[in-house]
Amino acid sequence: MSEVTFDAMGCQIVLGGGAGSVRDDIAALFHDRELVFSRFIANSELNRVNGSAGRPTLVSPLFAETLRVALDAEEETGGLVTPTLGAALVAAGYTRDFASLAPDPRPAGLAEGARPIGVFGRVVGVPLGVQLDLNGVVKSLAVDDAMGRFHGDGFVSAGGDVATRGALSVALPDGGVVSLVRGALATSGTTKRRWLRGGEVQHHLLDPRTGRPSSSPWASVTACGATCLAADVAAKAGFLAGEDGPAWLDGRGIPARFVGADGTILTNERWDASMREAVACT
Amino acid sequence: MGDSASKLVNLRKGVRLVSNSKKRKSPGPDRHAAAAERAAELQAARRRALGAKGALVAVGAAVFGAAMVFAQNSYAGHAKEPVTALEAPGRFIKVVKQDLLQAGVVAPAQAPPGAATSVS
Repeated sequence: MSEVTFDAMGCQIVLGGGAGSVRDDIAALFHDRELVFSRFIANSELNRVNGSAGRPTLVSPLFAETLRVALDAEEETGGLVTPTLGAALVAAGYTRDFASLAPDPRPAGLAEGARPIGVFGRVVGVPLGVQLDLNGVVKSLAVDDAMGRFHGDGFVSAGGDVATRGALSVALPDGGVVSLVRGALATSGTTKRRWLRGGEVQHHLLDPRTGRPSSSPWASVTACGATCLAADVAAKAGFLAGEDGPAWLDGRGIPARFVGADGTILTNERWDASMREAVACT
Repeated sequence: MGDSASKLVNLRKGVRLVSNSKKRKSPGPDRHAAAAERAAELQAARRRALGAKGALVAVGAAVFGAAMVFAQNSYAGHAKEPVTALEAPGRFIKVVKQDLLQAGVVAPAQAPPGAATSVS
């Protein structure tokens, strides 16, 4: 299967399969989404909405729909994956594109946990002091939308989130390969997007209760969902749920694989069952 | 003599004919009454015809309406109620939203990796 790569949303996108026009279409899709949702593009719609916190703002249909999905994910995960921690990310020092982020001797700023926001059709009400960060769903939604452009088999990998149509062998973090038969695999963790602020290690997976980087025991969590959105939200929730992550995802029927800080690998019951069922079917 | 007799007869016929034609050109009162009666009959006939046409249209409309009502109530494909926009019940929408976390399927690898998942 031929592949093409390009950079968007601060990561490398790999497209496998698909005609040239489809690939161009998908590349345009990722770049367009980045222009709308990036925190690091001054005139993005996200920054416009964050800049008008405290008063109702009319947003584009795409923005409203994406925010609605993010709020659904928040509800579905019991608040673990929330789009309202943008200000906490800034307080932790994640103020520019990760590639240009340098250690900062100043201590991390004060952070607030998640707070409710209002969405009424295309009108968004963000309370003062709250900054939206839709990164938790934007990339995975873009991957799912990109998959919809393929006419036959193919796959999309966006910074480690992989969705496929047709079985695909996928390498896992810290070794191992698995066959992704249907859906998507996404991995969340702290091994890449981490930086120093005031001498303390910070990362982008924030605990919604404190607004501070999560002290989860996991280095990374890989989850398998029917869509990339499901996989990504599940991986983040599994990470943020800490010790309860494996059981939390088992309770929702999501296969997941956990890599501990010491490198130990743990799989939940659904992951093992999915492997057994696949072997039994062959 | 014969000729003169026949002329006289012809003359008399002519007088009679002239007399008859004069009678037609100036009808008497009984003729007027007959014409008026005939006109009244014609008017009445026209009124009856008009009424019959109206009744025919009314009956036709009534039959059509009755057929429509019958069709609405008996033909399976006919809309029984006014058409309204499709709208999923709130409970259904809630259930669908709760299905955001759907599982995919993984299996033991059968081939070398074609892609990699990693922390982004």
